[in-house]
Amino acid sequence: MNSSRTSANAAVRRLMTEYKALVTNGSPDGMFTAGPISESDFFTWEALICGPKDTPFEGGIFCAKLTFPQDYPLSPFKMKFEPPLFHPNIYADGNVCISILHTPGDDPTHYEQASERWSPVQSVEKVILSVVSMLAEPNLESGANIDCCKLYRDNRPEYERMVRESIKEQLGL
Amino acid sequence: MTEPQQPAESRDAQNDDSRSEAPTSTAPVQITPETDISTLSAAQLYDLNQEFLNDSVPTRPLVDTLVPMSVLREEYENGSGLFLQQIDELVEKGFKSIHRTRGDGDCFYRSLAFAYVSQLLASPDQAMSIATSLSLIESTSDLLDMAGFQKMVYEDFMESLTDIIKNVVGPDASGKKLDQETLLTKFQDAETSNYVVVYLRLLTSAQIRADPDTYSPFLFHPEAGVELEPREFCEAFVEATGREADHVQITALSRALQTNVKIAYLDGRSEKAEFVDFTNAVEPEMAPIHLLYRPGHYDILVPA
Repeated sequence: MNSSRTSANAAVRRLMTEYKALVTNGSPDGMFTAGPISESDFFTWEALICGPKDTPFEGGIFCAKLTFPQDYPLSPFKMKFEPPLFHPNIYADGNVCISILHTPGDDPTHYEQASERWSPVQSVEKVILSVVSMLAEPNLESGANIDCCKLYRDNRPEYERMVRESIKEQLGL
Repeated sequence: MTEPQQPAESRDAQNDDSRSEAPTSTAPVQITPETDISTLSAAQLYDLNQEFLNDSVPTRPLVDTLVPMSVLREEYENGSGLFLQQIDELVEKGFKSIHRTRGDGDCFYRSLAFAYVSQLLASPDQAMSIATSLSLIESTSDLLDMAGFQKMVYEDFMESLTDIIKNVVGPDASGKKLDQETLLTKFQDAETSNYVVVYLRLLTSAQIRADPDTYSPFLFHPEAGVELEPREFCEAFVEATGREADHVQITALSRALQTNVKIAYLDGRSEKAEFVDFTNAVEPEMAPIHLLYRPGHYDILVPA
């Protein structure tokens, strides 16, 4: 409304709008839920994501932390799986490497020109949906976990077995 | 009506991305003081110019205070005489002052927005101009929806501009009506200023996406030169902050805002600074917004 509003206010407003929309409409096919971890901090969210069907991730539920910058949505947020997921596009520490979380000028792993990038028209929902497709179809062009990339390329059954094992482990089976 | 021109001749205008640290396919050529300028590519000249702009005033406000053209002239006194002649010619034409803007790749959109609101402020019939402008901007919702942007995603950005425009005729939260000084303050505030820029970027993108037949022939990758789909072009070179505008974007935005824009080219290539016209107002004779272009950068020209 006025020039005195701080950047963080605008970010909080947008985050609240997104949160409200997610709570009201849910996610497509109930694939994920996401929201602030605590009401006192709108800049840290937790997302619970269902492993997509017909992939080795099926049956798993994965927890990711979303960290928003003060100037969101001008800048993208960061997404980190906790605990880390074994996947070609997820770093060993759990951070997700996906083009939609990078602006066009910021190209850590040579994304293709046509790949979708961050801009203020993206949203938590769009990013998580992209991450879900990424789980189903890793992008070996922009690998984050090189060992996992190699395994995925050279020995797909073993990759799938390891993913399934890790899910069982997470579920305590 | 000005058709967008092939981006080839002004290709250097688009590669404005100071954050781009990505390795490119071409090996960087070392440029030393001995390098013959004529051997450099447009992109290299652009980078040099951008470096100069960034180095000369590292912390220029997003939109700087109004200064006489002589301030700009001083910077070129040791350079090519053609630049000085072009500046002098602009002054003779009545462009006596300039608002300079930060060279952050958003300067076209920021300059245009600032000049657009300035024009509303100076309108002899403010109430009418404001009403027309607000109804136009509100109607852009349809265009933005059609382009596939969610209301949730664009409304805050749109509101940042409509709030400023409403403030021309009505007091804001601080109880004051807008004047040139508070307009400048608002455009120096990073959030307000950047939100307006994002709105104009989305509007430009929506205009291009909604009319692919008109724009497709002009959508090229500014460096690689390959044709791009409207979606690809808009995502990478319109919606993304920090990406400089070229003919296509200027044409699209001037059409979406139904406004006339005249851009003076200060390029040191001839004795006169040529103007490129984008005439898209309903009334073709409507007073245009004047901007100054130097390769890779836009500032706001102020008559008188």
